Amino acid sequence: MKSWAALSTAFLVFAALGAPPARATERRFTYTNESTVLAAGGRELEPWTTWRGGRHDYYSAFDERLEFEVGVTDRLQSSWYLNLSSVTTGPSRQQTSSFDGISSEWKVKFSDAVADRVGSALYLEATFGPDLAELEGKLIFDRQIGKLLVALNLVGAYALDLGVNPTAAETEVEAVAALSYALRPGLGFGLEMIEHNRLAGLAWEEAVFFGGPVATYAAEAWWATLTVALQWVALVGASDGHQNLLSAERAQVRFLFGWHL
Amino acid sequence: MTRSETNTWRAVLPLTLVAGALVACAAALAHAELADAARAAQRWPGTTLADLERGREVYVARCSHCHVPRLPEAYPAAAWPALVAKMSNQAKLAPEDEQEITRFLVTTSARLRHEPMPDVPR
Repeated sequence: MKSWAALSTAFLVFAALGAPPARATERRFTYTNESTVLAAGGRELEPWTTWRGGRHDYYSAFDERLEFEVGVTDRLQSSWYLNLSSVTTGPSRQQTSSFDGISSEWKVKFSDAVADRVGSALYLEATFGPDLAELEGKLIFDRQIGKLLVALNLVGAYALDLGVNPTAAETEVEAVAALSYALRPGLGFGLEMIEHNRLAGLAWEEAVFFGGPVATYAAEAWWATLTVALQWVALVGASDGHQNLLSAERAQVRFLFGWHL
Repeated sequence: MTRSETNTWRAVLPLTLVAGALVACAAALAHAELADAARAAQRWPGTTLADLERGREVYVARCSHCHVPRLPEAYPAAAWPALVAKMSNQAKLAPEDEQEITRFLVTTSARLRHEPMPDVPR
């Protein structure tokens, strides 16, 4: 994990030194996608960090993604990710780190959040790793209302366990919604809400609702966005009062950084 | 209301409000109108409604990749030429694209902010 962090830092410094001044895309949310895509030929580097923690027993996890985005046409964007994770669990605080695989994402924009009645896009992502193969699809809707941007994603994912239990399959369904108010161009504050559901076959195993504040800042050539999401309620699978602290966390924090190359 | 129903509403209500906001009202970015074309033609002779609408299209196509396009009414009409000129360098706009975008933003801003057409370069 340390070598991964050093590699990422070196890459960022290299990119910073070599990057001409240009305006980076703005991403106002971390869990919620917007319909915008990079211009044809545009390139961006995005390191992601997500911390998840607070279960019934000790649990702390970091999910790291390094994303490279390319604008293919003015309506189509492609991205490639490297995925890594590190989990510390139990009374003995046992830590395991793993390379979770690579992902390829394709996003096509149909309409614009400002120019059209509703912005819309379709997002497809495939992940393949040593222990997992996953296909994820998202319908993205967003809309600018004055200084307020609202967005809604409907997400479906199907994952196959290729490791310990090769026959196991898991389906995840999410509704993710967010709003952000622009205090001035490039500076926004808002709220993100994630309704996460996990199914095994047709059986509903988990339904957890997270929500919390999101803040974003965009400069000429980079942007940064941070969300702090707390578990509000478990609609299915509650274990501790109205929360699920067996398979979900009390809190999640996600930080995205984007660098226009 | 039972506790289970309360929990369900905690999750469903915020998502429903966002979904409602998505489908309400018209597009945020105003379209040019015939009266805009008439006023624009006084400043830039020969400007038509189609020219202004093309300016709107170019504005969305070239600017929305990097940021949410600012609405015309967000700035005084007289401020737009300098703003577009500044961004034009970064977005590498062709001179004709810059001019079409400027005409659309100046004219629409003047209407929506109830301002007279500014004395901007022709």
